[in-house]
Order: sequence, then structure tokens, then C-alpha cells
Amino acid sequence: MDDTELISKVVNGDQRAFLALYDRYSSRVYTLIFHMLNDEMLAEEILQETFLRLWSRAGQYIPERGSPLTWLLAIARRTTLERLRFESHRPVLSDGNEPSTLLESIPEPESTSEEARWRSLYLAVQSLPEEQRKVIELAYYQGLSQSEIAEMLNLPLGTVKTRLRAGMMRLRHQWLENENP
Amino acid sequence: MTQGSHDSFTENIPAYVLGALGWAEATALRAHLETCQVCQAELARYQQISNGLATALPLRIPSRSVRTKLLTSLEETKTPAHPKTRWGFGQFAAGALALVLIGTNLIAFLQIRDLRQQHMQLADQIEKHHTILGMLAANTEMHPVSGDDFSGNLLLDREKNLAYLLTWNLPPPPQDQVYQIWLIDPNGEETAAGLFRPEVDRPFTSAALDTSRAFVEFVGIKVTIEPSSGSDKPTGEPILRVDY
Repeated sequence: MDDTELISKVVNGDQRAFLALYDRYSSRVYTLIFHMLNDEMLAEEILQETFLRLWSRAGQYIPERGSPLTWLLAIARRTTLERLRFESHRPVLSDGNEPSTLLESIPEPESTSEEARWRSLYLAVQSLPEEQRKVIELAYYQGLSQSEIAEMLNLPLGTVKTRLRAGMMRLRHQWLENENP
Repeated sequence: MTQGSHDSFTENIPAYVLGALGWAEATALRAHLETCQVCQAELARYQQISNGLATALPLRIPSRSVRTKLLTSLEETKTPAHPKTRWGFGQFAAGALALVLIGTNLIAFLQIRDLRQQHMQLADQIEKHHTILGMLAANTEMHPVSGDDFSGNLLLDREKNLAYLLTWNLPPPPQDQVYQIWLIDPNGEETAAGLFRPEVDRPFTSAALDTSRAFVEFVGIKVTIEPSSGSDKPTGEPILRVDY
């Protein structure tokens, strides 16, 4: 059964469909939340909150706007940013040196084409110059504006804008345009 | 739109998809995107990157306890469309406040309705008194009436076909009974011409004679005590009679 069918069943209160979605995507969602918070307990709490939002708001899902996973991740990111702002809980930034055991969990390109795409993007992000990767992470994973990043890193706003734009263009060339030359 | 301004919007798209633009810049860019297909295409490409950033991370597995807790929560909520309502203190307080407001409004409504009724009664009385004063000033016929403990006058304006019975110290009729006025024609036939009770706490009572016929067709009036809904024909002895 595909994701959209499962969502339709969740709208009608089907707990088995809901659990099927949970089993399918909880790791992906938890990974994002943990990466943003760097706190296992809090990440699990928000993971639960995210899926409860899916349970109560499944009727608001619009297939034309993206896959159920994209929607779930958007809910998770928003929920996490809300919590970060509420608690002013700013996690330690990822330094890019993830434990090797975790790196191994990234699927190999031959697993599925979708998973391979994520792996190549991950590698593209990791290959960015440190100063570019850092501003992108602060913006996306911690919800900081360019002005807030400039203040946090004690850099001129123009420098932050330049680094962020350069990093995103580099990702685009390395990841997106390699896929669709 | 100049090429320079278009370029500045394009340059902001990477920050926009990451949610890093300030409110003003994001608002301006959204407006520009509505009309610029080049920037829409650019946005779609960078949007893929931002979506990918949510997914392109080393996978972590949450503990089984989250699934168990979720199952418990689902049992409590039952259906997603209509989650069970839980009444906290705030909702109880809001409910109580709403009830107090509804009660207050109801009382206010009833008070206003009573006041309105009183106002209409007073307006009626004023109009009646003005009519009586007008009749007095216009040399209306005045026929004295009297009884054991009361006195008064019958005011009659034949030309305007108006008649009022004014009494002083008329005692109230027994409970569930009223005074009924009868017009008497030359043959002695009686026609009902209205019900009234003396005004509470006032020695002065006025009652308009109510008939669709002309007063000149009659020769006098009398008043009897009748049941509160009135009678077709007099059932009691008259307490007063006036011939005009």
C-alpha cells in the first residue's frame, strides 16, 4: 500500500495505517529531529508530537505539494524549530565528524535510487567548505535568519549572505546538476 | 522591473528556501515569484536541495518506547478527525464565564423587556391623558358619576366620537374580576365598551370607551363587575350608571 493510501486511511482513523507510516518513516523523521537538537530524549518527544500531529491533521495533507515523507519532515522541522525557539535551546553545531557507525547506516547507491540520492546529497554537504556548510546548517537545521547567523558568528551580514549563496550553488552543481546534466 | 532588481531576487532564493530571509525580503520575493517564471524555476531547483537536507542525514533509530507511547496516545484519542475533548481548568473557567455572561445577558434582556413594556404602558397613559386634557379644553360634554365611595365624570365628544370615564377612589374589583363598561341604546340594549381595573396606588382612573359604533346611537353607560375576560352581557348589578 502506498503512502497516499495510508494517509487516506489515517484520515478515517485507521490505527494500523498510522502505525505502518510510523514504521516506514519514524527513523527518517527522528534523524532530522535529533540532528537539529542533538538530544535523544527531546528528539523522541518531538518525534511523538510530530506523529500525533500527523494523526490529527492527516486530512490537511495535499498530495500535489509533495510526498507524505516531505510533509512529515516539514511538520517535524517546524515542530522542532518551535521547541527551539520556545526553550531557546540551541544545540551544539554538528562538526561534520559523525561516528563511523552512523555513516555506515547511509544506504549504498545501489539500495534504492531515492536513498542513493540522499547519500549523494549528504556527501555533497560534507564536502562543502566548512564556512559554507556551517551557515547552511544554522539556517536550515536551527531556523536562524542570515542576520542572526551574522550576529552569532560575529561576521558581517554580507559575508553570511555570500557564504550561504555560494554553498547552495555548490550543492546545486554537485548534486542536482550531476543528476540532471 | 530592472535586470538588477531581478538579479537581487534570484540571489535571495537560496536563503529563502532555507527559511533564512528576513520577513521583508521574504515578502518581497514571494510577490516577485508570482510573476517571474525564471525565478519560479530557480525556486523549484533549490527547493529540492532544502527538502533533501531534511533527508540526507545518517539514519538514527528511535527507541521502541516512542511507538508504545504513541499507541497509548492513539487509544486515548480514538479518531483523528474528532479527538476526544479534555476539559482542563482553563476550559472549565471559560465555560463558567460563558454561562455567567449568558445569564447576565438573559437578565438584562428580561429587564429591558420589562422596561419596554412599562415604557409602552406609560406612553399609552400619557397619550390617554393628553386626549382627556384635550377633551376638557374643547368644551367636551361632562357627565358626573358617583357611587358609594367614589366619584367621577364621563367625558363625551360626540363630534369626534370619543368618550372617557374618569373616576376617583374607585375601589379595585375582587381578584380575577374587572370592571366592564356597557353602552345603553334607546331600547335598553347593552353593548360591551371595554374592560378596566383601577390604576394601582393612584386615586385617579381613566378608561376609554371602546366601540365601533357612534356614541350618538346610545343614551347612557353603566359599569358592572365581570370575570377578568369580560362578558357578553352584564351579569352583575351596575356600580354606576350615567345617562347622556
